Amino acid sequence: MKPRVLKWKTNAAPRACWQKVAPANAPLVALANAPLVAPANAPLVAPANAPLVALANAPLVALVLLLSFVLAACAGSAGGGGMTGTGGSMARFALHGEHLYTLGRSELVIFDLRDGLSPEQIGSQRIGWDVETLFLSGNRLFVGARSGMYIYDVSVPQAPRQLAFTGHLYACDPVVVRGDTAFVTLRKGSQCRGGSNELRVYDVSNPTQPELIATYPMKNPWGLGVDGPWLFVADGRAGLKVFDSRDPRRIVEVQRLRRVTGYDVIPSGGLLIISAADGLYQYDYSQGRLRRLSRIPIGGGPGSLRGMPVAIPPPAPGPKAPARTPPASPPVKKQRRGPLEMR
Amino acid sequence: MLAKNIEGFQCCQLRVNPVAVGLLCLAGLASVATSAKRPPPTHRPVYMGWKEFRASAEVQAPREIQKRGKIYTFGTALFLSEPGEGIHVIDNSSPEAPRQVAFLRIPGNFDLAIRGRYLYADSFVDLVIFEVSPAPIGVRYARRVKNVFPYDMTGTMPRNQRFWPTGVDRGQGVVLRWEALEKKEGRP
Repeated sequence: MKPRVLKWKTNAAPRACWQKVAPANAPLVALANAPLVAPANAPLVAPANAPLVALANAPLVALVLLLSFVLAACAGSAGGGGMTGTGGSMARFALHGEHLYTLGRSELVIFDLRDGLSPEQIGSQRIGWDVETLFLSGNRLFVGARSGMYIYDVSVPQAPRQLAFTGHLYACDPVVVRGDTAFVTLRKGSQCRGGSNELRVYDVSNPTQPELIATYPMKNPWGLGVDGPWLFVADGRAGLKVFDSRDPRRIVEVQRLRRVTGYDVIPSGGLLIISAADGLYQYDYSQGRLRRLSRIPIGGGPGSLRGMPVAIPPPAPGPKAPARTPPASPPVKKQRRGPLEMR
Repeated sequence: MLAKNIEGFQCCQLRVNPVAVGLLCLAGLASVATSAKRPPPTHRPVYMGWKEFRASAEVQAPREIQKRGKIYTFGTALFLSEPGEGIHVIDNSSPEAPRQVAFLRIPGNFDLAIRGRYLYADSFVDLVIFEVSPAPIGVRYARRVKNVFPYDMTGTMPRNQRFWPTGVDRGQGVVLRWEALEKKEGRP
């Protein structure tokens, strides 16, 4: 399990900021022509930018505006310079207030960041040898391991307390959480022997007793992310799938990008960022459909698949750092791009 | 201990210098035992010396992205890690036209997190800190906190192939990568 995509929504502090800007249940109606209009009472934070989108003809501009607005608000209101970033579901670092949780090979190392320049290690805890990803939701820390999902209570930051462990067949699996619902992908692969390829949905309203409420078959899922009603799953060569997940017991695929072999994804405020085998893709989903914005090629492959806009300037002709870093630049023998590995 | 005794006893039966032969037998047995357990090594570590490693983190000019990694957003800045190498810094103030603005060279890096003005990144056993500002994007090396993570070589181990490493000498530095050995070379 490897959690993590919606950090700033699920983190305690950032959520506070967000709510200041978009009080409570902002009406989601604005998504007028969007096929996915969340029910009014949906506790989903996501389309807070919806009203703006509706007003402005240029949703992107609105989005950017909103984003900076929110961020400014957060930065302004958070004491101690608490503005934080957002990671994807594959991350092994997670911020919780002024604490940083890092997942090593088998243990959790916790830092106190109150003095930003001198992080102090305040604790460490063994979890298991096969842990892979972290996702924080409020005071709950979800640890994805190859053997299952751990849930910890981190209300005492330096001493996480295990609340539950849900074992499953041997597989790799990131986790993301929206409210009381945890989405987990399990993936088979060379490093993740056995197991199965699927998306699992847990009800974690009782964190000591996560309940499996649904399972959906997948091809070879990697990272995933959830934003409001939308759930994005990078399902290997099957492409990037978009689901309507308002009803977690019955999620529905609404769109798929077949050419995008995704690894990590971050959906946030209408902007979907995908780190894929051949590029860093960005899509706008504020209108309910994915619309490609840009792609930065990865791996030096052909600049485009089918003439999509390649929006990046040529890599600086600067020295590829040969002189400065003799042993640091290992011969670029392309690691076989087999199953993408986790770490 | 038991094995040792038995070994010594057998050697004595041969009526030769018991000590010398005993040692020989032991050595032979040991090598047989270990080679039975594991095949000859296939890879040896390539180190980055401690001194060089500790001076390795820096901000460099942007460069081509070779391998996809984890993503992280901070305001309108976007960070993409290149596993084991460092972090690409991208100005994403307009997502239609993202712009690579820098590359943070951080050997052994896989993850990052940003809080306030600081970016925290793992670098083998150290935690490296950069100072960042979201808009306009600025990044500057700040400092490193040494030896906070366990010495771990698994991040650099080759996947999808036979892998029997030779021993690792931590005194020599961190393990940057693994070099495949010729078939014969593996045998000591």
